[in-house]
Amino acid sequence: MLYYKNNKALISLLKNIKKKVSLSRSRQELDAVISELKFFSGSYQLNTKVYWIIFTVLLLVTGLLGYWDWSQRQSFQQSTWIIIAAGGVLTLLSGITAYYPHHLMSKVSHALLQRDGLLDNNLTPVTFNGKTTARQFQQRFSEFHRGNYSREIHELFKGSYQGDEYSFEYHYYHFHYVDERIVTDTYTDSNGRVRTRTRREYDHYDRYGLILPFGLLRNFAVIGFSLPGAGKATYKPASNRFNKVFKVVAASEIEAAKAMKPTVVVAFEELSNVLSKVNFEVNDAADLCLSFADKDLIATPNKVKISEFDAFIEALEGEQEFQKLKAALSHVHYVMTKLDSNF
Amino acid sequence: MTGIWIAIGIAVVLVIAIIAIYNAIINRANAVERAWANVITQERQKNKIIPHLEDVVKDYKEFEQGTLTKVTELRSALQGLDIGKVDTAKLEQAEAKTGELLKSLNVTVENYPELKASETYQKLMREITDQQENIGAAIRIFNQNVEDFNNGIEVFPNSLVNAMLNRKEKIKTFSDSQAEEGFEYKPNI
Repeated sequence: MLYYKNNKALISLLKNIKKKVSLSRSRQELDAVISELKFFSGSYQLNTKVYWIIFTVLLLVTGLLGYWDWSQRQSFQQSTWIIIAAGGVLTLLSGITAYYPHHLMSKVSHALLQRDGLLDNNLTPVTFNGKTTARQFQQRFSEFHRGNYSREIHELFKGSYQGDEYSFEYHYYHFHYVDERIVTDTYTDSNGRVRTRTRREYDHYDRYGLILPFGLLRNFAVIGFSLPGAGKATYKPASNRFNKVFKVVAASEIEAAKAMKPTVVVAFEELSNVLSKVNFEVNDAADLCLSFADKDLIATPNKVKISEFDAFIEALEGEQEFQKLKAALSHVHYVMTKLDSNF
Repeated sequence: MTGIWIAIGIAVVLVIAIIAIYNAIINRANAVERAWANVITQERQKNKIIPHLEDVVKDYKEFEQGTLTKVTELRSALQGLDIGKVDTAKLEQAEAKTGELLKSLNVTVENYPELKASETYQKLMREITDQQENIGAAIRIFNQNVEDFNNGIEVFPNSLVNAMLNRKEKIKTFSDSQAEEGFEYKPNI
């Protein structure tokens, strides 16, 4: 492609960084990538004006030519067809040439900020097999008994949380599942007879969550979104607001009443303002799966691009906070402290 | 004939609506009572703490005199609370007595550094803080339910059904900044 010299060098750098960012696992590795970006001797600005001008001119010329020929005879001559087709291809190529570098810059900027955000929040990617891990999680939690067609873990990160009273390690996951359903359509055939036919449809869903050793409860769930296999509510706290969103399922009413202290109830009310479709499930091994529908827990809040270089480096050098992740973790910690009696 | 069926249909829908509104008001009133009972239960948890407190301070004479008076006052305030009757004035009194006791404890303990540093005292203070937080949260739940109830009898056409059938009166929410401060949980967002 015929970019200016600086564009060419910058695009090559961006492609190189894109590859390296996806492979970086530690702060040192990411810092090395950022240094490479900092040592780029050219400008961080892409100059694609010429390609946009060519794109606009080609679009106008091809359009006008087509319009003129059509207005003359209400059809296209064969030569016009050829010109329109050639013009169309050239317009498309110039459009892609103008757009691609900007797209690449956005992608690389986002990838760098995202990786930096993960490291700022002590999250490291885990190597895993999506289907096997989903099966393993399914054996541990009802939350993963979803999807009659397929179940897969798409993302898995390991993190650690340091609270005032408790510290714990956790896994953040992205769970994708598919439901298959058979749909019956009615139609009229060429002989005018009404017939039916069936086809399979696939509905794709995503859930996200945190898994960690909880320790203070067993076989206990606060359910804000349908949980496969969960029975009827065993206990109803006094709060109308809580009962509108959640139901509590535990081994016994007394156990549930003990756990659902007023502070815990209000903490769940607050959590439902931050996260949607929340389930808090503690299994028989006292491990917790806090699941929800929000996909932006570990998404970088920064939108700045490499082209705004100083602001971009400032964003990378500062601490990025994943606010929702912090809220979810502090909720878990808070519930832990409330369930741990002093006497 | 069709006109009669339409009239009967409207009457049936109206009766169902009235029954639904009537029951909703009753449900909300019951929820307020439950929330109130919850507040009182949490308040009475203090009775469990008081013997521990007495144990801790019994070896400190100066401490004992001032604190025991406050403990007695708190016990009597707690006895005045009725689980079956919403009485925010009495709750306010019990909370005030708790505040006085805690204040007195904090001032006097400064004279006994070894007591202040002891594990038992630290545990006791954590438990008291925990209880105060639970009371604060229970009061918040009570106030939320009262708000639901009050809205439920004031909006139209509920106000009409309430005036004719339920005849429930608006309930006052409990406002005590000290008790509300006791509940410190704030989400990070």
